Amino acid sequence: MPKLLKNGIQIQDIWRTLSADKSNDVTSTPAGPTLFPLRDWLDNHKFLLKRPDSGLWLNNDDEPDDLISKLGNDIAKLPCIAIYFPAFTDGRGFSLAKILRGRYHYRGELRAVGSILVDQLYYLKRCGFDAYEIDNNEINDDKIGDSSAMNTALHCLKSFSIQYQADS
Amino acid sequence: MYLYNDQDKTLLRERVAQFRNQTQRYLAGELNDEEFLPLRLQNGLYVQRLAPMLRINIPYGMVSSAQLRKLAHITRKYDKGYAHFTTRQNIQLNWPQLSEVPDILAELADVEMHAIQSSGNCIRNITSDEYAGISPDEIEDPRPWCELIRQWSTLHPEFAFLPRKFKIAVSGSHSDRAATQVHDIGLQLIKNTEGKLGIKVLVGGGLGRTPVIGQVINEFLEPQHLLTYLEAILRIYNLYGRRDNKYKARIKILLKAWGAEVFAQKVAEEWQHLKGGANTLSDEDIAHHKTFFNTPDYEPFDSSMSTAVKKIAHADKAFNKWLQRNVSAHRVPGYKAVSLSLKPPGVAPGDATDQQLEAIADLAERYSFGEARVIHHQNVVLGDVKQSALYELWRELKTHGFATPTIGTLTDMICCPGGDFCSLANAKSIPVAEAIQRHFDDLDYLYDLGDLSLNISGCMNACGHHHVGNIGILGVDKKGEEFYQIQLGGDSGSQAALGKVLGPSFYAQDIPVIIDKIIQIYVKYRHDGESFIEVYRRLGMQHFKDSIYAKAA
Repeated sequence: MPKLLKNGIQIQDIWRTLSADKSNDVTSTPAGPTLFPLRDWLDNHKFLLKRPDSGLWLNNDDEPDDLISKLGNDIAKLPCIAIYFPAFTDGRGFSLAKILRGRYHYRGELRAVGSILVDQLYYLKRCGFDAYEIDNNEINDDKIGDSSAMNTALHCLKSFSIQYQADS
Repeated sequence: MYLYNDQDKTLLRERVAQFRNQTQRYLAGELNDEEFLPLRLQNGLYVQRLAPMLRINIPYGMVSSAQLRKLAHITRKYDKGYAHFTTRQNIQLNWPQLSEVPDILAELADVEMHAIQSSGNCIRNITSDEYAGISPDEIEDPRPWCELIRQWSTLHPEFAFLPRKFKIAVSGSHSDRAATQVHDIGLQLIKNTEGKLGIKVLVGGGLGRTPVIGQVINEFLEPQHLLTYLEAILRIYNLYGRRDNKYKARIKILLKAWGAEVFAQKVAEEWQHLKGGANTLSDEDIAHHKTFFNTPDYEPFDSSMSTAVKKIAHADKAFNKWLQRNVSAHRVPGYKAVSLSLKPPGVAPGDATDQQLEAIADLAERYSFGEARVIHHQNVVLGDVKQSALYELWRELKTHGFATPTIGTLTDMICCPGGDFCSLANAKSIPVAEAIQRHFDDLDYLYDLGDLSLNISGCMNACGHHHVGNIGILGVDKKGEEFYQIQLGGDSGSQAALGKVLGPSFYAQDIPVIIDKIIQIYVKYRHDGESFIEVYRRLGMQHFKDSIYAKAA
């Protein structure tokens, strides 16, 4: 089970992710916190909005505008959105996060998943992410935040006390 | 010059601490090569053919005497006692030790310098006009705007992992000395008919493998919206720029695919969400940043001084030549801008020793309010020299080897480090530059040829800007052998143009003779006062092609 760095500690991830490769049978998906890919939301947004434990899983080439055209302001009601980074050098997810937080006023959990470096945590946080799936065994085995890898991760989150940009 | 406040200094210190930690983790094996790569690049550190290379920013080219002295110290302590000025107003060290780079960055931070984002797929050093604030044809001093962009782009959280590198240049004069048409974003400060300041925004210019002239996407942007508008451009590029092929990843490719109109429309739509937001510049912000670039304490004009200089020039032919080539007009009567040539024969263009850096620091202090300007032609300019001090300065420049009176001529070449240093290069460039310098060593002949830019790149990445040289030379590799292709007709100024290939490439040893033949065609066909580029435009490429290859056959 993957783990998540959130609020300074490593937590067990309770969210299940459905495959984005195909359309899922949304109506018969068992209850419990589930991240549905954008396509499922586009096809079944009315149904999913009624399910309080449905979140959104975004590929970094997904168009958030597509989602907004269906969901409108209801996007702010979602409990969890995950943005997938296929490679840590691919920075599209940073812009998607800023758009969700800034333009659509999304306030739920925003998690960075896929390939990310602890050295990117500060920028991720600045763009609005508040949960991070980090692929590091030492961090994933550490619940209380006292391994050196975990310390590095927590340190990276606050690399700078000064910022030039006014908005993030 | 911009002076750092406590916040600026804290940010630099935190950046050094961050990179020290990253370097330690890399050396301890906690970060692999692939992970360390973007982190070190965004601190200016390349791994080159022979050693790492560290690129240090000189934002929009302004450098103080204290900073030059620190650079001299760094080249002595951590390197081989010299540095290389690049075509983007940066300075490079060719031999630092990886483990010492954090110490170098800490020393730089002490004098308000850094290497943040001097490389990598992010917003690079902001470049500008070498005569900013002093040229007679200036509409608006670009430096406060450059500084505002420098701050905004520094550690911008959203734009640190762009599809590719991103270069912004700002010009504030009628003649464009910042090459804004060949940058990812070119900003031209202009005034409308009511005298109101605005910014013309060009996007998608660039050199490299696919040279393109930028296109205007906004004719008149109100200046307070500069940063939000840039944010909109960068966001569109970050989201839609190609990432599948690094050679198709620059913004110019996106602009070409969509067309300028569609691109401008996309940016305008994105901007509607950002316009008026937190990054909108207030009048106070703008005024505050302008205070750093206030006019220095110029002395009142004394016309007898300029008469005296003219008298000396009349008597001393060498001084007179230097005045004509290396001294430029200043908007304040009684002052001149003086170019220090870093291109004496036999030295790699743009190289300066530790002693030369210190000499420039001293000269800047005594002759130019303690400031110098690093320019994209790989020379250094003292911007505010009293006319009455020119003769004395010239004599000092001669002793330091800075008085080569060839600024703007054929031998004032732009040249990349090439295959001697760079791991990307296909061919050497410095020995070719030296061979040309040796061939054209007759100063009178050079003066007679007048303004002529010759740019050399060792590979198609075009660090030597060969596309925009009146004559461009490009090193190419053919089955392991080095050849050189010649291009004609490039221009980086207001009439920006990309050179066209003359024809099949040549061996290195033939280059000086071929250049000579090209020059002879110019000399034969020029009318009174026509420059090389004007003759080229009139005659056309075919004329040169026929002459050069007919003779070779």
